[in-house]
Amino acid sequence: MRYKTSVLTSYIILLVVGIVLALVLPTPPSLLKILNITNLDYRLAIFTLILPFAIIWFSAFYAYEKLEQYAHKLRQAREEKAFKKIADGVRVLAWGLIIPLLISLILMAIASRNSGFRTAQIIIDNYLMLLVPLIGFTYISSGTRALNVLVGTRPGLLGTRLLAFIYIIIGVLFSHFVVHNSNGPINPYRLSFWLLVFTIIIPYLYAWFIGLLSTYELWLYAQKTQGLIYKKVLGQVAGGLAVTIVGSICWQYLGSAFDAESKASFSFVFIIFYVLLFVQAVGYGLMAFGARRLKRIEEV
Amino acid sequence: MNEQSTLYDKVVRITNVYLGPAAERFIGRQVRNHLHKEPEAISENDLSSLIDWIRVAVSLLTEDSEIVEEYTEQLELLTHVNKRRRINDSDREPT
Repeated sequence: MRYKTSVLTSYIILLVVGIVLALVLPTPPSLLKILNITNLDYRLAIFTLILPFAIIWFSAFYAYEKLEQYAHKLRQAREEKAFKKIADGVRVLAWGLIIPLLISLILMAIASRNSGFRTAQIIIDNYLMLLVPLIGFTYISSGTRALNVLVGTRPGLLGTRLLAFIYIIIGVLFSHFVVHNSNGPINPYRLSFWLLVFTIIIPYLYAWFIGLLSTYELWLYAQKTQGLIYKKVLGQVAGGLAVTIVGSICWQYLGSAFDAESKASFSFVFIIFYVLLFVQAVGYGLMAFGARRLKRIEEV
Repeated sequence: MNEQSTLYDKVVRITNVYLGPAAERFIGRQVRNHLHKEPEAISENDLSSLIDWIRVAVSLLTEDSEIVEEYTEQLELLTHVNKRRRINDSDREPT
């Protein structure tokens, strides 16, 4: 019971801190100029984003809590360590939805008072955004790999080729967009070419490959494992994880590949924001639902 | 099925078809919690009561009543197989 309260408490504290920071901290005038909106419009936009953000954060926290509880129920079972790793990865993704955003809000407020800090703020924001999938997907992948070892399966030829094909498209386009943007009049990453390649592009491509591979591996495990009821429930977790990872990759892709300082339509950016939030919330919800049912199998 | 396998092994083997890796833990819990004995110690006399508990537990896990029926029917077959084997064994006994 104490454990359950602590996850919910963390969520509520982070949500309240997020709302206060978003509504109280000053907005950099440069951002308002780029978005071509007034300070009031900006506050209203933030206000409308609070509810979807609260929902997605809640579903993410709920999903990792249920996965952790399921892993805890497994005790000495062979799959225990693998599911613990997956739960740890989802926890990193869940916290990673909030913490970088809160830090970014604080840094943005500092930058609005001290324009010299703007470059440092952008660089820190970019690296924080990168750290989340890098750590989260690595944990999840270790877990899904361990599950594949348990059932003695490995990615098939068709699956590997399809994964490589999709990944190459994503990777080449991403590299193109990032390098193209960095050559513009204002380098949105504030990094030199090689630093951009080695500390942004390559780590992102690595994280996304690991993320896509882990969704494929969990799907493989769900296919190869026995148990009509177990398989069906595990399929929900695998589906949820796949939607979350793909949604998360799209989010990072758009966040990094598209120039934040370009003159993109504010409403267009807003719609994309909502769609990706909704996709991730659905993924976390599916994962939580499946994990809760897996946990029930270990309880009855 | 292996001649050497115990009733517990047979129950776990059938359960594996429905609950996969969770099968052994599931049966262990049903036996310990409801029959109050160690899982390996179950006998034919416990089977009908165990099947009843399993039916209740599995109904909580799936809404698919066909799966529940199929699973419990497979377990009930064990009772018939064991009864038939006992009859055969007594027929073979020298008079």
